[in-house]
Amino acid sequence: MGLNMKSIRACLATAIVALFAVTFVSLAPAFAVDIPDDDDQDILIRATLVTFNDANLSGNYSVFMAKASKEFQAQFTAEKMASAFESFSKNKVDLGDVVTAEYDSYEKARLDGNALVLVGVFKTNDLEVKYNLHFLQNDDAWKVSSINVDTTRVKH
Amino acid sequence: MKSIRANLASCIVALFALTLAWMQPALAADIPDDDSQDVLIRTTLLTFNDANMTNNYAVMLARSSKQFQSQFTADKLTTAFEKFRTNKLFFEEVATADYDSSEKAVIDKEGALVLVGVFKTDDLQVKYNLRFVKNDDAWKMLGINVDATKKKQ
Repeated sequence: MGLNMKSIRACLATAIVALFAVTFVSLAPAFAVDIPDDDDQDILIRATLVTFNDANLSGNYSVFMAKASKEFQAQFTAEKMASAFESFSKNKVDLGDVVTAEYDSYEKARLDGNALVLVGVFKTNDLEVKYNLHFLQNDDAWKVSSINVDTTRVKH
Repeated sequence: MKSIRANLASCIVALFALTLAWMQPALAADIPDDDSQDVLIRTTLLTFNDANMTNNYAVMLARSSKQFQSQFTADKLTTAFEKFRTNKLFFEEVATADYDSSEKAVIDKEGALVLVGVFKTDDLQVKYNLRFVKNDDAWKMLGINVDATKKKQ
């Protein structure tokens, strides 16, 4: 969380948002799900954060919603998301650099029930971006079922 | 096309906003460094791909330049890019794909930053020609030309 900042860094602005779709009993493992390989995980993480960033910078969450899992769509509206992520828009937090940024650290991908859990940290020139993303398979494709992003501006 | 590859589906779309005289101050703009170019290219193509995957061009339009917004509507983009959707020419892999080739970035005579190159993913060859103009000190998309070709497996 952004509350545990290192002393060498000043927190100029931080924004943390977590939206988790409630998992239903029907999501209990009914079939074997494989963890995608490292390359596919990398694509999922970066593409999801770029879509999230586009939504924040445009104030329009309709594309993010359309790409999310059915479970996520069932529980959140674009309006709810706009409200939840207001701090990102307000602080003009631009995460675009994560598309090419190095990972500062990341956890080994794991399955939580049928949900794929991808957790890690990017460092860009201006930001530290911690992400915790959950995905569910919908029609054989991994779709976002929850998103938790914590960004901290770093002082140069 | 190379003989080792069959053209199963290809789609080329070019949308360039007309350049206006008041774009001239952009001539003084510096070409962004390689890392910033890389970010511009990949994020622009991912935003474009998101629009095609969802058939929703509102976000792409909102992220583009004022000049582009003044000449295209989301409905026009929906029509222009229909073939990407019908042929399922989606390329989220450009987030991490290697460049097959790229041209040196240039500022053209109209003051636009021009970024041209080719990505190869496992399934697609994606040729792009992107133009950007500065709006409020940020490079925003002014034109997009993408040619995506499915490779034979």
